[in-house]
Amino acid sequence: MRINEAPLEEVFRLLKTTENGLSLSEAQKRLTYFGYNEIREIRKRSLLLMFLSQFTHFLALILWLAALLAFFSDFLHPGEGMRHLGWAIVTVIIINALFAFVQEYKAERAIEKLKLLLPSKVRAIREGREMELHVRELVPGDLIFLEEGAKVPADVRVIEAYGLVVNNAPLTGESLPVSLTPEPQKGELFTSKNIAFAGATVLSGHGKGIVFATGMHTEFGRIARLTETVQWEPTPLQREISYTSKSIALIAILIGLFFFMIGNLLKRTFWENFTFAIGVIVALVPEGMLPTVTLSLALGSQRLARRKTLVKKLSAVEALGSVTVICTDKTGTLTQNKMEVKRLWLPESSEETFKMLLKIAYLCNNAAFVNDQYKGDPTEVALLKFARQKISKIEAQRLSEIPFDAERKRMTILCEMEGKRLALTKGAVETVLPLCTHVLYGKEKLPFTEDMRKNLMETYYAMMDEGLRVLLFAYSEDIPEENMILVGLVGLEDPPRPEVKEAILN
Amino acid sequence: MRTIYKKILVQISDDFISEGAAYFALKVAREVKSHLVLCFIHERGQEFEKGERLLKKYFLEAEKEGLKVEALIKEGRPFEILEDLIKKEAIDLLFVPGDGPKKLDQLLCSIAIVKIVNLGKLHPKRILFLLKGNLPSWKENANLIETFYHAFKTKVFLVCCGKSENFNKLLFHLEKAGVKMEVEFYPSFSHNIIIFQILSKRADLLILEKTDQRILGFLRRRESQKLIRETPCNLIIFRPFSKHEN
Repeated sequence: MRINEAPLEEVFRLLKTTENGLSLSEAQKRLTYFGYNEIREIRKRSLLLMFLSQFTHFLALILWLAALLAFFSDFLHPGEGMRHLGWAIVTVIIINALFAFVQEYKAERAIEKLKLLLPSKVRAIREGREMELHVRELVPGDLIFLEEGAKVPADVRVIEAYGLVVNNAPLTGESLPVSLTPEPQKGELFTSKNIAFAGATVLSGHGKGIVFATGMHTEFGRIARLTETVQWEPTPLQREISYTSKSIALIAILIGLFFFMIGNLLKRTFWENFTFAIGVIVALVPEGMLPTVTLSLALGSQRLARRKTLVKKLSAVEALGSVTVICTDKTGTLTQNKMEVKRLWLPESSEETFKMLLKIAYLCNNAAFVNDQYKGDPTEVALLKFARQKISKIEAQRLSEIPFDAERKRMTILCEMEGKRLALTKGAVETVLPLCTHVLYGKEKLPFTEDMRKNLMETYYAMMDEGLRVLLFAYSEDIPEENMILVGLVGLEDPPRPEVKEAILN
Repeated sequence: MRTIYKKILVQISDDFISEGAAYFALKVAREVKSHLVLCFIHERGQEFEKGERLLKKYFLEAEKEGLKVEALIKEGRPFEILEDLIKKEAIDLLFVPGDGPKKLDQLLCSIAIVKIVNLGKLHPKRILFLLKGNLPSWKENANLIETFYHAFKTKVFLVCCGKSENFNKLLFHLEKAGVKMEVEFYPSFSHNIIIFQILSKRADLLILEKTDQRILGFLRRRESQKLIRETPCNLIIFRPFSKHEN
């Protein structure tokens, strides 16, 4: 039985813990076995190896060979400046290696940013006593408190929840809050509503949970580890440099050999020929290529920085120029992440229909206006803001809710308003429209005809073409979500950032 | 399902580490209707009430599943006790927890070393089997995969590293047995590729064969040991026993 499917007694048994938490000795034993609860880099190669590799790539090896030949030539025929050339080549190798090492080292620090998403302290229960622990000392089986505003420190099976709502955005990218419950849940762990994941934030409420996974074995750790499996492909420039340096090396050696043979034919001494050949080879090796490339990339990254582009790896400067397709996140990156109601469509523009739409927008809504601030999902906040701008507070009593979920794509609340019980629904057109049998025309409810459906769909597609997110509003007077009365469409937009248009044009 | 494991032995210890070994042993025994032997080994002078309680718990669970089960409490060195039991009781498969006794290679039966890193995913929904090298024990590997598939009703991923005719034989056998699986082939074993496969497929359990100890196996052993040390999910290291291939 998996941890999310188990009833509470079974959870304690599975994790070998009790309501008093773990004993101190047991906690210590588990800490030794499972390790610290921390996100750590599983380093592919040591820093030393990373540093040494900057001296051993192909172009660097050619330069080493050239330097060696220069020193050897100076040994045979001193005073011809070959020693200075040798030292110049060595200096070029060292400077480039240091530069490249620093760049690569900085780029590998991605994990450091992920670590910031975990908290540092947590309240837990051990041996029946409440105590504050360092998060890294948490082990599977620990009983911890989940408190409003705090970050979840490890993967936790919830055993108590009082209005406990979390935001799993660091894991899923979705800002939709998730209400947690201690009840057993079937299905995947990842979508269970009784699991709080490391990195999530407790938005409201409080509760208790038992840790079942820590450190790199949490979902968060899995993501961190996945980022480390990325294999970097050489950029087009790196491939060209590699190809060019191999070609140059071959040509230089061939030409050197050629001149050596000519010298032989001209009956010069072996060492004269050898020295001459070395001089030709060293002259042909482009010592300046590496620093020139590095410098031009550095200048390029500075120019990009002036245009507000941060370049972490120099080779990306050239790679950016070779890009043909850009894949980008939308919400919050291209857009301002501020939903607004942009357009409405009503089957008939009367005050009654409009008021009904506003009531649904106001009541079928889990966003709240508290302390002069709107709190909740951005779409719901937009609808609440819109409704509050048009009408003052609506008196109604919420009786129950069928919450929104990704499969049904709609949300319904049952409420008592003006002496009548109504089920108010909002959701995606494709899931709500099939449930509508009537349409609200002012004070009348008319059957929903095919012509009306056609008209609605045309408007829906037109709104979609404008880039709006469209929701359909309806209600039913009897059984919720049956024989519903269509009220209207609302188009919402998350406006793009002002600089996006120019960025895309350019 | 025909099985080569008529008798299964599992070493119980008095801490959470053996929970995994006992759990998998029970499930496998239930699937193949084997005789299950539970053995708690304690050192001289060590208190064993906790171990006795655990033994009783697993014994009752096994009985509830309708299994023929024996429970033993032994005193002494774990390796010697296990070696003795394996000979006397003609054990086919031994489950030991990850910190089990050393020198397991000398034991005359198949061995499954169970290492648990995530207590919440003890029941696997996705199992990744890593097959590498020549796979001389392909029949036993196939049997094990089939057993786990049926025991846990799980999704099976096979990652085959290397080129061996035995991979095809194994796949054919599994297809005939109705095992639904996803297979990926790689020219050679690579730690990074396997880690990526485990993480991206969200495998809950990794099963791999114990690497050979020959000198030429040194590099392969190093990569495998790195995978075992840094396993991203629960792990079973499986050592097949040659008699089962005949």
